[in-house]
Amino acid sequence: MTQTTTLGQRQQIEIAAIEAELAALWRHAPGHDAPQLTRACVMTLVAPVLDQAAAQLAGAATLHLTDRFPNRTIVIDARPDDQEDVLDAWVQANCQMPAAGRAQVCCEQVTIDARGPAVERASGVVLPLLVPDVPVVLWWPSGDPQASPLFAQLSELADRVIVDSATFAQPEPQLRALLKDARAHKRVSDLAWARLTPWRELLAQFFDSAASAAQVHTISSVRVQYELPEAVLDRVQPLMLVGWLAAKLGWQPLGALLNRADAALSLRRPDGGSVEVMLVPQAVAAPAAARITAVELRTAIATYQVGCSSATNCATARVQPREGAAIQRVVRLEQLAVAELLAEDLRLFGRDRAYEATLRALAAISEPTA
Amino acid sequence: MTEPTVNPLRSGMRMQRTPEPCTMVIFGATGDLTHRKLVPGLYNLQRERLLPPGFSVIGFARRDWSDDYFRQTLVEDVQEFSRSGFEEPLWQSFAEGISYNRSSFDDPAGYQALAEKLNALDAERGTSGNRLFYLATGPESFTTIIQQLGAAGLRQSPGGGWTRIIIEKPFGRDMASARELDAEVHKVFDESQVYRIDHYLGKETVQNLLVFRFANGIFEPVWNRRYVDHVQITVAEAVGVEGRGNYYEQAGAIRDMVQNHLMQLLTLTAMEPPGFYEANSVRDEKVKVLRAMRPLAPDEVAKYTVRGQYTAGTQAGKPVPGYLEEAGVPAGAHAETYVAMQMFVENWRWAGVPFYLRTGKRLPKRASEIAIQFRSAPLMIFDQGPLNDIEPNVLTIKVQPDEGISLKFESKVPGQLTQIRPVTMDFRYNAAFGVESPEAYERLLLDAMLGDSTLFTRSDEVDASWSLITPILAGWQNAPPPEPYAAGSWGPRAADEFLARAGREWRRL
Ligand SMILES: NC(=O)c1ccc[n+]([C@@H]2O[C@H](COP(=O)([O-])OP(=O)(O)OC[C@H]3O[C@@H](n4cnc5c(N)ncnc54)[C@H](OP(=O)(O)O)[C@@H]3O)[C@@H](O)[C@H]2O)c1
Repeated sequence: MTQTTTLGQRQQIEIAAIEAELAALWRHAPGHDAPQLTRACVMTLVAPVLDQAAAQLAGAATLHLTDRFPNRTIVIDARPDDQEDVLDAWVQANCQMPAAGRAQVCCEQVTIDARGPAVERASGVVLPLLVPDVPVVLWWPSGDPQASPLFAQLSELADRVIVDSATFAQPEPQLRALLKDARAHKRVSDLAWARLTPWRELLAQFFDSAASAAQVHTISSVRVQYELPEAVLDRVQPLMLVGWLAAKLGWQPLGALLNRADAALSLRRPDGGSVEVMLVPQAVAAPAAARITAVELRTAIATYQVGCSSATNCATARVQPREGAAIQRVVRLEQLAVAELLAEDLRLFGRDRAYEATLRALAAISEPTA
Repeated sequence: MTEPTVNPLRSGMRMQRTPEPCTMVIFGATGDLTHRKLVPGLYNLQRERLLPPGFSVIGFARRDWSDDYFRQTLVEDVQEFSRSGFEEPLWQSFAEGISYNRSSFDDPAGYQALAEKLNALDAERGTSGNRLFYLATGPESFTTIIQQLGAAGLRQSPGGGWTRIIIEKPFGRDMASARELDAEVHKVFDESQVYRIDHYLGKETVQNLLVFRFANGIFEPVWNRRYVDHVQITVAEAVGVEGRGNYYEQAGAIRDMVQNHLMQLLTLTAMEPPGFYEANSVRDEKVKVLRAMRPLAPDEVAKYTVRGQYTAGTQAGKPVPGYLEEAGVPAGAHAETYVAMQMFVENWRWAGVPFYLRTGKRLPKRASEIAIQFRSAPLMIFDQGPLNDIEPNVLTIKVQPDEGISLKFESKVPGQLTQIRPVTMDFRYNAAFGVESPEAYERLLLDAMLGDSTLFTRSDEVDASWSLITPILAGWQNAPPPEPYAAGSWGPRAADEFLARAGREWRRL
């Protein structure tokens, strides 16, 4: 991976002069005339941050993205609860260290500090700064989006919205609201869902071959093991995986899901058979986001398992037929940092119907039915 | 063919489908290609979770190696040539599926042993009878291997799996030998099983050429004789023959590069839009271009082609030997290490537009590109004179190394005078999509396992291509030997004169 550096000084400027200062930044950039400095832009990324942790995430992510998705980043450092009423702006250019023989790519970053009532006016500052013709991506690094008026204002401007439901305090209602956004023809992505991509891939691969394809319809039990930080009930990741299976395979929930970490759930397959789901939490001390560590699917003739080890960044995918020897292989499965997940997600365009279907299934599972 | 199975868990997943479990048999497994490209490529695919469970490799070659020794030799190459990192547990799991079958290519017993191993793998690793044979050997072995595979009953898999065969270049050395080889191939395999590889088609920018042309509305309207003055296709290499002098002397630049890579670039540039992006639609259009091209008569060869051979010179400040002094090159060698030529595509779109092709070894740098040079503006309304040297617009598609597309156009220099200078607008692939492109071989191996032959050369395409090259070879029989050019220069002077006669010049890359 290439390194990224900041070009020149970060400069504080007048709000009205942001656009002019951005142009000046490029004029004064060292090597401006050299053809080796390429300025490129494939999107405007708007990242509102409401606390220090989110600000750090955003900082790391924008530097990472310079390398893969040159963009104009607008970070809004918003503290609505502050007493003062202040709106400040900074500009800077982030440049990738050039790989040998390659052009150096730079992108620009605007940081808007909004304090107190000024937060209300922040989205008005953002509007003229959007780069014409390229998509506007609103990335909400952490926390419940629906709780903030800033989210509502900014998502009006955005072509797509990226959240991380693993950071939601109240995932279930928040996800239901997001589903509405998705229906309003906006692409909504969720980094918690993106974390499941390799799991979904590995599980799907079990049923790719002609011989095993029919098996997927006869799954009778699902066991999802996940790490659970102490004293919180964070089941978004495992439930999302179950929701995905249910949506794809047409399983209907029978009864309500208990509000506990080790919940069990029965579902009915389209052929009338039943599927028993078990969530198996493993307590971990660190306050990390809940994370899946193993999944097991059973049918009458085989058991399919994927288990990961964070020590090696590898996962083992294993098929154990009832008769005969197991087939297993090791593949890479690293835990991606937020910046990497974001970059992966930005590669995809269009509405993510599998995610939307999963959210619907999730709503059905988590909403107590009579 | 079995019905493609629908996996509900795949629907809506925006990842490539992984192929069905299969075994790949590599003929020539102790060789250079296997170690430098194929196995490192497979390892990367495995690392990216793109290979199916149970995927297995059987190496087939003559040397007395054990399974373990074969794996050991591969580890080093994967560490050296794989573009991603090396991870021990991953390699261990991948290596479990690798074995070695020692045999000479002409020994039927070796193929019996192979068949038994394949059957055993089907049972042990669930490879379900799917087989991919890869001929990573010199062309002299192709026929033997294919005949032996047929004789051993390996043309089709037992129990309904698929069997496919990838054939390396060169496919024949002229029209007659290509047809002979094709006949041998078709005695054993159906065309739908055959994947003739040209790794240029696996390159990201080459595929992007089709997207650029056919997913954008503004380029096709000017992509024709009304607006295009001529097309220049360059594949320049900085390296010499790198110890493969013996092979090279038999081939020369025309067989080594023009018949395959340059022809591919030409057909993709000139082809009509296919009905849809699917193997046979795309290849039908490519074949139409080749069929519309006028073969040179042997006596026109002197007029439309230039050959060169490098002599000692310097490259990157270091002295380098001439072709005749290279290791492995026989005394009195006469192969061309440089060739420039003009081709004609005689259809409604291109009639009268020259396509200039050039390729050579020991040129100043490694660079491949397609340049479309447009006609000049019809009328010059700005002051002509010493200040204004108007240059035509050029659209350049850079294939390697710094992949991208650039457009050169005229612009006013700021100031009181109307002074005009060309500027370029550059799109760099890596600037917009910072991710690294996969290796060409990775893409193609995966396509073959998935049964997608879009990026492989079809039998009639090879045939049509040789029908253009063979008369040139015949013409050269009675022509003077290649002209010398110093290593590290842009080819023989005759190549410049050749374009100058038409009032044009080669682009300086
Ligand atoms: N090398 C590259 O980078 C490259 C790039 C593009 C295309 N290609 C093409 O790929 C093909 C292979 O090239 P390469 O460079 O890998 O060749 P190579 O290094 O010479 O390897 C030849 C292989 O064939 C085996 N072999 C030859 N005769 C045999 C026989 N009678 N019985 C059993 N095995 C036999 C050799 O095995 P033993 O050594 O055990 O005898 C060796 O494994 C060629 O068609 C070439 O044009 C190569």
